[in-house]
Amino acid sequence: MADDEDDPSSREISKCWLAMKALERHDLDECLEHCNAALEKNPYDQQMWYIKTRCLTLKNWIDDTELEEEGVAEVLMDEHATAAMPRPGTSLRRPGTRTQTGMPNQGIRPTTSSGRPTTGFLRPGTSTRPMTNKGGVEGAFRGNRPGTTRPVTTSGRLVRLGTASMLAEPGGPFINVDKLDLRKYAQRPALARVLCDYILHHDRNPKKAVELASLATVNAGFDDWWWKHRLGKGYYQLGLLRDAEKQFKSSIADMPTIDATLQLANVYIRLDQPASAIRVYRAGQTQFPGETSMLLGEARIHDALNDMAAGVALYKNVLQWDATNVEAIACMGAHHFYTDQPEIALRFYRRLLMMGVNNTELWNNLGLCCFYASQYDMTLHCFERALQLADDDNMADVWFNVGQVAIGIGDLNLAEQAFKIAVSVDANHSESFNNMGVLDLRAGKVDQAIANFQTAHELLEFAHEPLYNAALTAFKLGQFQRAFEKVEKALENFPEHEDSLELRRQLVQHFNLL
Amino acid sequence: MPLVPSFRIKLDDQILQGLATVGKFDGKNPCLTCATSGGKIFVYDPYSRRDEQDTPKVRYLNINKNITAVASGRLDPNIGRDILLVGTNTDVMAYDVEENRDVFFKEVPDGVNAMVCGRVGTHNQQPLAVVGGSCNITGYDADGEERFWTVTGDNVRAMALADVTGDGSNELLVGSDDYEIRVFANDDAISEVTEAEKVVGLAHLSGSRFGYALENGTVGVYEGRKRKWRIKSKNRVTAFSAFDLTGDGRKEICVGWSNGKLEVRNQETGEVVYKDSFKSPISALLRADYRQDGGGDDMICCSLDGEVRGYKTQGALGGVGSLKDDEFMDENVKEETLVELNQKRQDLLAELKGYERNTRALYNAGVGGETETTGTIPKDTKVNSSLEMNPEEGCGEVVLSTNNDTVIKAAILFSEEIFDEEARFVYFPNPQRVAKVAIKPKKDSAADVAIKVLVSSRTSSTYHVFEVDFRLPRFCMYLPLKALPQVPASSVQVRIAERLVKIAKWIDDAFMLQTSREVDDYSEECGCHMVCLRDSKPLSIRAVNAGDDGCDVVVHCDDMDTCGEVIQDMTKALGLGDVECTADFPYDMERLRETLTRVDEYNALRSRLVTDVADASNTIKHLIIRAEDSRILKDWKTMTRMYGELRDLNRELIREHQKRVENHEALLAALREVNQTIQKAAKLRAGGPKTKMVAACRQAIKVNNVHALFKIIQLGADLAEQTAGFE
Repeated sequence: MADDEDDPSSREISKCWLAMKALERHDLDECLEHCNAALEKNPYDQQMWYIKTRCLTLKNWIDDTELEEEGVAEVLMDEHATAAMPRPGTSLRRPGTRTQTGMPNQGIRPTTSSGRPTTGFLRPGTSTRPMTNKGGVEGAFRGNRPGTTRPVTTSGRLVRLGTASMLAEPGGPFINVDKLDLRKYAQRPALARVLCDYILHHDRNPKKAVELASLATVNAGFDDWWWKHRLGKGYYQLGLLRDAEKQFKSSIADMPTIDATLQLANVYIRLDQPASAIRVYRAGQTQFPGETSMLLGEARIHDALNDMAAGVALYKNVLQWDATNVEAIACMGAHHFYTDQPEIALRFYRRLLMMGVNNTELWNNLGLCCFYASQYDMTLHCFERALQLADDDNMADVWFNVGQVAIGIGDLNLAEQAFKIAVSVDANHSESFNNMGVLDLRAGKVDQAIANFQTAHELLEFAHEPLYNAALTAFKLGQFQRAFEKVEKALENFPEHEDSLELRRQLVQHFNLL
Repeated sequence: MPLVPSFRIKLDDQILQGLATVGKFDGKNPCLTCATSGGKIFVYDPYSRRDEQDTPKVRYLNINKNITAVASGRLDPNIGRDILLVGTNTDVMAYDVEENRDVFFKEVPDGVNAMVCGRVGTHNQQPLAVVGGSCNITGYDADGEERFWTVTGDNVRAMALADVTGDGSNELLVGSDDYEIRVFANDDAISEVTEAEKVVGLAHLSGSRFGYALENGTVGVYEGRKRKWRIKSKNRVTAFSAFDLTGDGRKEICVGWSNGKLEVRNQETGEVVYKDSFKSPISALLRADYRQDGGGDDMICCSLDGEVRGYKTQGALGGVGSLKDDEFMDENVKEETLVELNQKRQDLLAELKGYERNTRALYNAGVGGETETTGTIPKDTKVNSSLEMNPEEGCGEVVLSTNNDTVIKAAILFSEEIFDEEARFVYFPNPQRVAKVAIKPKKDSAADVAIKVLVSSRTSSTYHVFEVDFRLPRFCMYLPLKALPQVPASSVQVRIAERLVKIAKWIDDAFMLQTSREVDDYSEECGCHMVCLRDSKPLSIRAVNAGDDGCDVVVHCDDMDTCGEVIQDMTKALGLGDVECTADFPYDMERLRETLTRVDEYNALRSRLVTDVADASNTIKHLIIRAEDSRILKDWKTMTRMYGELRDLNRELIREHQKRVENHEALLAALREVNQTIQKAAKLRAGGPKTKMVAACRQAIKVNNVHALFKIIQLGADLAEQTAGFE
């Protein structure tokens, strides 16, 4: 900066200082303006280059510890998991295999479209991990909710993000990584670091990032945790999970960091080794006691393994450290709701409301809690609020619940109306079709009911209710063979379903008599 | 006698050779675990629990790599169950089957050839996963930390853990591709036996007795360093183990052959006790209490096509005699016996005919011409043997001669160490009194040659066979010279607390010289010059009297290996314990430096290639999905385009793969060379310094300190450490 003394512009405030301050304030656009102006004058100004790189990286930063959705290709073609058919309760891919005594089962607690119990909080990846290859290509394409689709490949989505960020810049990309001599940059630790983050978060080019990081880690004598961590990140994005595991472990050994711990656990989740991931989280908790992201991570795995009791204990722990953690509160609420304590659930949801969360789902849940807690005056108000906030994505759910409540108070007309609206909003709403079928049956419209059950089943293959209902209808109509087929399928989805078992027993008796 | 299986299982999957183990992965129930085709491992659990009805008996584990070794054991004493160990060409993984969790995952660049799990030496505090790669053995503990490392001469093929010395701690038996069977106590090789082929199987019997199997189909038993018996077959040994099937308290040698035969042989004599046969090659022999019926361990025999039979100790079945033999008698066995007996009959008939002809001839000729026609030779005929060196041909010659005018028509030489095929038949078209047979031992090792000499009179067609035993000295391939044209640049210097006379005597014994004649206690020095007949490299040994401290022995030779052999022979002959040396091998060190640079290059290239491939495979996935998507949408144009791109990318990937393979092979070769150099340097020392040097070298390689590595090789571990302190 000594040169600035001779420069006439030095009487003004230094651009560099302004840019730094803007960056500190996180006023990225302003920072960019300053940088662009300075770089136009002198393209080789290193400090401005540094600041601009940091700025662009921050602009495109995504918390990648949370971004965990597998693409279609990963679902279909990757065989990272060691065990193809692991023991029950040790794999994320067989969620339904462990049932806890004393905990609500499938019959009470609904499942997501992938057959996992709902947890009270929608999170990327964990709630939507599909069963292995069930349904082939078409099945793998199917996304989170019926009718949506999932990204083709994980890295593909990252690339898309990268190109999007590049297009947004006037005058082409700021740094053309392919033309850089990474060897040269690797010699300069400070510049290399911002460049590496830029490549990872702005360009989304893990291959180049790995190249740079491996050169830099050699220069650092293999004992710089930061480079190892970035190497691990790059490998992880490339799908080289074992290499990523090695780097993260080495990074943690040099210097325990929260980020590396979370990433390492993610590696194990991708490898379908929940037990290893839990160990990583536990080890991390001894290093960083009270780190809620690790506690939450562990709780999520327990949830995914259908081990609700362990999850709930962790959520409680999270709330002790951080009383405003939305995810933990929501999960506690859901837990209490499904364990028949709507009054307590109500308190959790009200807490969320107080914290400023104001969305359809919350009002919807509040409505349900109020209803089951016998506060009927509040119920419909809550649903009204929910509907006011709802969009096409979640409106069907709200109407479905209105229908539920209507059935509860015996207003079947309202119920049917509600379900019809739900279906009109979202033509793939399986639950509404199912309930409509039941109402049709009551009204004596048998054919329509059967058709509705069939639709409901096709839309949500993992649900047992439509199958059981169809079986029961067939049984009452005297179509025993059909009833037996349906009930068998229902039991496949939910082996302990008492009513299905009873129905099958009766059917078997019938067949024996014949 | 046929062997009666106590149970049979037919599995649907192949069981690859040598890749099977039995582990109690839940702590109680033994599960048969085998590698099968397609980089998969299956776990056959006959005890799947009732509460987990949907868990199938056979479960698959995807390794997705070429599996090269499988083992199991209680690696972590804190977990009360067995851990599965899986070795591939590039890594080793310890896996907790019960919890579906990696215990550790380690990269092993030079691959895994053999693996055992158990306590080694005084590393007694925890069991180790002992991994045999190319030229080195590494022991990992439950955290994946390296606890044990040593070098061997070549690829490790077979390993066994057993208390050979009876000191209460396990020794490690290692068979490798350089034909050696070594016994390691801790990091120290306490015994070495040289065999005639690559060692593929080792099994401990009792005390210092162990069985071995070689690649050429030889099976035998050693007692310490002495061989008790051996047999050879034209089939390949595919499984090897020891198990007490007779119930007499002594283990038998169990051998599985490539033709599906299972043989059980007495450990004393090598006699076949039991036999059984399978339809496909036998892939593994294991022991485990598989049925848990209280009857003790079973021997489990797996064959390639997935047939598994278990055998109990036959005594436990109530005596062999009470079994219905016919039922289990295999058709094969019957036929073979028949052929065997027929052959014997033919032989006997031929012999009888010969005798008849001889007597007839004798009868016809009368008394006078008996020597010429009947082929008898004088009673005092003797065959002498001696060794001569032939510098022109570059080989040694065994000289056979008779003491009268009978001639040598042919000779059969047996020696597994010298000849590739164990034996050589030499026919002399012009029979003479004296015959020479060229021999060229590949290695410097003493060898016994059993010679059968066919002697007859000049015209007779009947031969008399003389048996001559001949012992080839260890350093027979070195020809003494008066002086060397040029003293080799490389040398190794050793200080020995021994008198000069003794050293001179050792030189005489080892190299068949007469240097000790001029040497007495007051001589200043002694020595000799020699040239190796194999590669005509000069070798010179010089011992200088250093007064009360003993002598300094300097060996000059450009071949580090030869120097090592000389030092080893000397330490053994003079009964020396610890030997430290100063080694100066400029050529070898230069080569090592180049190799280490190459290793770095290959490693850098490898990591780049790996990321390239990962990147490309992401693109491939993307293309497949796009193509499938178009297929579902019936957009044929896009689909064709996608598949076209896919084909191009695929071709490119194959090319990349070729590059990777080449790089990997080069890396392997370089790593091997490094290990071999360390092994050679270790051979220049003995006892404590040797062990310390190997450990120090490993440490230096780990921290990538090339400079320290050279220092250690040159001066040994202790001195190198001291000098390092001064720098």
